[in-house]
Amino acid sequence: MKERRLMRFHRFKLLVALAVALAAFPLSVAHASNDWVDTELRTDLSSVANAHDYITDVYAVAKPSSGAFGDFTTGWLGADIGSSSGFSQVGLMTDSGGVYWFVYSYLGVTCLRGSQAWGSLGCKGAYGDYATLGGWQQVELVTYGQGYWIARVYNSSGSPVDIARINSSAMNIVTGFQDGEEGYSESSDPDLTMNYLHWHPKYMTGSGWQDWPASPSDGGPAGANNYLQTQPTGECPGYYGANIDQAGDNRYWQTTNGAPTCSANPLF
Amino acid sequence: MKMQIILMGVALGVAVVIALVRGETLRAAGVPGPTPTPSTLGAPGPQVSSARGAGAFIVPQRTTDLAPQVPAEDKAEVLIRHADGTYEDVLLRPDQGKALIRNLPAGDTWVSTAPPASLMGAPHPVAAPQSGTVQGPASGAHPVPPATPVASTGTGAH
Repeated sequence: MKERRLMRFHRFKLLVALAVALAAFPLSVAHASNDWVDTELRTDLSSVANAHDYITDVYAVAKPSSGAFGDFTTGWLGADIGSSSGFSQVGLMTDSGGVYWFVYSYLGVTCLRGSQAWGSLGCKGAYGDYATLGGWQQVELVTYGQGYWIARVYNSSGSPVDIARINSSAMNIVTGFQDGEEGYSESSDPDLTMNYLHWHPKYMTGSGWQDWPASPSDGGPAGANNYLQTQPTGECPGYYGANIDQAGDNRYWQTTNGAPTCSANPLF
Repeated sequence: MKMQIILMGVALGVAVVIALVRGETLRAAGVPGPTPTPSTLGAPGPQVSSARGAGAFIVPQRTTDLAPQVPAEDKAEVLIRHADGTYEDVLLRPDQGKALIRNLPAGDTWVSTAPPASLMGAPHPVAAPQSGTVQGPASGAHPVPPATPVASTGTGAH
């Protein structure tokens, strides 16, 4: 009788140990994440918020050679179209295969070139289609009030190529962005080679393209400054940051590994 | 008797978990998994052919899902152009991608890649940084800036 009880007790201990082991077993270690060197552009001026047309130049210096398949870096122009839930972006993406343009929007897109990606939220070009490592690429977000926005890249002759429609009839933006970004699927950050140059975000006025307005000298109301910061903040210094004021021009900056500037308010 | 039934249940559960984990490990090691099955995921939306340049927008003739057990947002996507000119969209786990590219048949081309959808999206909204510039020590080598682009020539909306 006593022996049976002892046996049951041992079985119980075995069960508990098994349950603990199963609960602790790492069935999945996937941990997707992103790092940004984020520039937020002022949209407090109605001339900017309602300009309907935004453009910038991005230069992909290098592509990542390490990391898991599908890990990437991006350099892009973005805007919250209509509201904070209208995040949309157009820019260059690099991965181990090379460089290509991409469009992504929470509002949904219709691809005009390349192929569809991320369900109905994005489009991507083929490697090297209007995208070169070591070359400037102009990208644009514009609406003509036809009930959608257009994402564009420019060819080497300076002519626009429509690559996607973004499904929004809104005629304003509430946030502007110009970022360098890393995305990875590993459990720890591979700190991919990320290296983009960003040059002069602009908006359209009645007299043509104008540089994005400078921050007010008095700091202005909340949200009025053009500022740069890294996310998450632990990435800088050491992993990702910015080289600002390239060639003495405060509208020309670089987002890359190991760069010293972690934040700048205002950036320009 | 009751205890024996519980023990049998636990043993069966452990066997199933081990089998699943071994399958994952084998696939991760490059050992072929089950035959890929066509998937309905990623089917192209309605075409707006009038607005698309001829041949500029690619609609894959086939979509193959190599990771049907993985949530759609965690799959990467590879577009392949076959030697016969047709396109195939392959959905896969990131750890399957390198082997796929390495073993492409002669004549097939790797056209593009899309990272998992779970990696896409906006930066998290945070408060603006404090005024001024915060610098850490530089630790990387930086290239000399190239020539700046020529003045923007885009056509305007106005």
